[in-house]
Amino acid sequence: MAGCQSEPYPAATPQRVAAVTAAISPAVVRVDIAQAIYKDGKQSLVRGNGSGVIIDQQGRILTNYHVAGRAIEIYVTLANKERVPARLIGDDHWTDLAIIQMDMDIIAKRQIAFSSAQLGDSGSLVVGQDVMAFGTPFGLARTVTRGSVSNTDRTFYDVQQRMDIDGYETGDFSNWIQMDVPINPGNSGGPLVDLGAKVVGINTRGGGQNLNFAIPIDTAKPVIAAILQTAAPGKKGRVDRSDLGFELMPMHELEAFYDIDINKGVLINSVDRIGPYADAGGKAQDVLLAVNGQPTNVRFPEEMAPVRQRIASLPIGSDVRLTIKRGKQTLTLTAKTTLLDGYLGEERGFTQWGVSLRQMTRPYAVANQLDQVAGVWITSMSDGEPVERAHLAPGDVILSVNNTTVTDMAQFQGLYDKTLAAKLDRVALEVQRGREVFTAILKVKEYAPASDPSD
Amino acid sequence: MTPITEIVCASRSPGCTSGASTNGVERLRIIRPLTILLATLAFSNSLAKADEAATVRRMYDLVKPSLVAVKYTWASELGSQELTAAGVIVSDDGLVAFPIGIVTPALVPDDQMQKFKIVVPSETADETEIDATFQGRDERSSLAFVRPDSPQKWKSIKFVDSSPRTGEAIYSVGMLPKGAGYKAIVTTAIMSTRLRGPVPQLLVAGQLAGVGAVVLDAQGHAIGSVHARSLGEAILDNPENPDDLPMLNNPPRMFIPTSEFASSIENSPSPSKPIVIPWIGCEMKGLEKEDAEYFGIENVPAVQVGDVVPDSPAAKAGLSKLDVITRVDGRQIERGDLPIELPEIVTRYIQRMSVGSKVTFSVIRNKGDVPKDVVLTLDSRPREPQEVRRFYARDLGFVAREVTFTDTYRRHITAKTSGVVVALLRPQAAAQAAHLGMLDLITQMNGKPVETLDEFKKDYQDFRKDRPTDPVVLEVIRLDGKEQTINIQPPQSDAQPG
Repeated sequence: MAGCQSEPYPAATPQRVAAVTAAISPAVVRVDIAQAIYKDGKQSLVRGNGSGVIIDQQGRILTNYHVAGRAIEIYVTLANKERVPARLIGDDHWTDLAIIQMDMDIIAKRQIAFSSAQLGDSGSLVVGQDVMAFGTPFGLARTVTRGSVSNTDRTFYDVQQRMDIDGYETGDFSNWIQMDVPINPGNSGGPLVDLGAKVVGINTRGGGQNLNFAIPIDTAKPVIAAILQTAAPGKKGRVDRSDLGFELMPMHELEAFYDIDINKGVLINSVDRIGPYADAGGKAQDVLLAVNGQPTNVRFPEEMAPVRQRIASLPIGSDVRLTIKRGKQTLTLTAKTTLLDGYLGEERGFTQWGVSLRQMTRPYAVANQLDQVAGVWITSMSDGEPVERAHLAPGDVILSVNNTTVTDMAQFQGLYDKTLAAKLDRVALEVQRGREVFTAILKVKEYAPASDPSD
Repeated sequence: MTPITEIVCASRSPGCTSGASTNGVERLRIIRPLTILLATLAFSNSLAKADEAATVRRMYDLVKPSLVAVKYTWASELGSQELTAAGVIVSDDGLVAFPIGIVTPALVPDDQMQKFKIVVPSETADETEIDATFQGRDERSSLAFVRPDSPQKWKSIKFVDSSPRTGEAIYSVGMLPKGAGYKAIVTTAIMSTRLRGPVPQLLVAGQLAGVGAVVLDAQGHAIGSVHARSLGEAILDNPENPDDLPMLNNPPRMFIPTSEFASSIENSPSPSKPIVIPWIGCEMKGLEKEDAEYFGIENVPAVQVGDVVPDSPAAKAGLSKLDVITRVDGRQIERGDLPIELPEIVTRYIQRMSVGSKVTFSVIRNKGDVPKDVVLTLDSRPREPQEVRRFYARDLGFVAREVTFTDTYRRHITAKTSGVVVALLRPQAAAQAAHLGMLDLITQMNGKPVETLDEFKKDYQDFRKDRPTDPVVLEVIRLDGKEQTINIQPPQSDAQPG
């Protein structure tokens, strides 16, 4: 496809479309997954499928978080219809991306051929340019569709409502490519390709009519690098970001009110009660002018993601200089960044008690107006098991076990294991429900299942 | 007028109750098959007899002259609506009691209830409407009161405190809606059982004559009254469906004994003497059987203290979270049918005391503790949303009211926080378009902190007059505690949406 490079926006002639299809198809896979979710206090599986694109000769595949993130079982089907197992290397719900790895031993043993796609440059996309999508809409593998780019900086910023995937925040750090290329459920994770046969985006949202959205490949590149760098045997790769504990709002139509020049600053709309900005003495309605001397100007929602991304890229735990305008004064505050955490923490099941619990996170504590980031909270319960019989409810926060304060999930696991090892038939929990605090007594032994060899 | 003002706020202040409102429903479901069985027996045995027919007629004649309808106009910022309830004349000078449900479904402020009328039905002429004045409400007994503006010579019902025994004959006389000519109806039933709970309820086999009906024993003593099972049920005339006769389609089977509301009639409120409800200011939870065992107090009904409101009577007395209350004023806490009812039982006991009086809790922290006495001096309950003043910012389409304790408590912010709270949003108006939300706490307007409702009103009116084309910028704290800047663009025309 060397010839493709010369023209900036090659047109979708039939010959060109056929050539791009031939070049990309061998790198596109169907992804079938099983995800472990907790329901009624027990782990159960949810199956689904999507698409993915092979990005290197080591058999790594880029797909969506909402396809393969949190997956515990993965199979990919290649263009030549061969099916091979794969495993999750790492994921990032904030950008809705995940990387999976084909089982290369099986690929080698069965001498399965595949190729990898070249990643392009989404920054150079122009509206009107022809693009093609590859994937598995409604399970129909090896489907190729085409259309053109409709918009290159689509934002879904909404001060009222944040985007999420099953409760996991997403879409904060980049704008979207909007295209009229038909995609449908199952296309998710597949590549959006320019007519130079380079991947310019990952098809992610849409699924009807002609309004569809892809994650720009420029957003994906650093995520891929971070996941591959942090992944290790037995450890999922991840993207660590910085957080300052506030929510921002564009300045549009508020410049006069805050007496500020057009195109200057961004409004700090809300400050987390527990968090770096509150600790630094920051307040809602401060106008953030610069971080470490670099201007942070957000007049329109489209400018929000780059500023958030810039804050996220600050070294974690570092002191940053925040130049703000408060009333008529310009001030400098120093805040220490913290690791960006999501609303939903790690979830684990505790079968002897018939409950699934999540780690408390700072954003969860803030959103639920808790006074501290401690404890674990109930996500689901099994009927007839100790936690349900003690009249607890989803959302209840367990603050202590037999008078020992719960600090986090790992420590809670230790306390739980200890009560089982000691064969305690009564366990006293201190529980917080909204503003209520109470003692709940679990009757454990009586309801524990008869010795289960697999347990 | 469907989007009613403060549904979200309908829960009462903390330290008063925790919701057990579904209990009644649950209980009804279990008991229903039994009721139907007993009802069948009751009808076959007694109704056939001729002297029984005379007794039923006597009950009807006894109560009918004391039944009236109470009507008022609810004039809210968005429009007005007429509401009617079944009332009972409870004093010879004309005091009328009626179910509170009709004045609280949306926590209607007193001054929005206007043009009260007492409707006296007649079989031979049009009903008579007599101008009346609202006297107040007593949520402890779920009764509200009106009094005619002109003296009347009416026959009143004297309620007596008497507990019928299971199997005794029960009669009830109530009123049908306007669509059925406000006719009095009589029913017969058999006393079935007494249910324990925050409010004792007597269950009958058979049926009762609708919300507000007077319940009589075989001697013709008024021994209780039928209360609404849901807020809407208290409304006699359903404006959307005038043919609706809930008391016939789904007749009630439970009534409240006189003991629960006698003092409310005796000490009925008046405009100059509203009811003041005492308050201790802490959350409570009933102990389950396992919990009681853990604290070594098997078979003792007890409640555990949850959050204690700073500066409240509970806090001043040194009550703290996780304390277990085993006795109140030296006596064991009355049993409920379920542990969840215990906090309401304690609350009801306290609410029937007077502000300034003392209550003693016997408290333990751990198993084996010698109970320690904690003495609380009762304070008056913080004001509720329907008790505070409001201002209608008509041009931008929202109502602001004074901030109440609940507004700050639920947001975990100090009760001293000043501001005003959004009590109503007119659909499609500028404020709603700018995403101002119900119950948002407005802390600043145009950069100036909001101190009082009066000040807010003045600043708002001045600003809209002096700078009618400038946006109004509000700083609010949402229900979830998050701050939000709201930029309301003024309307470009005088058209009033919504």
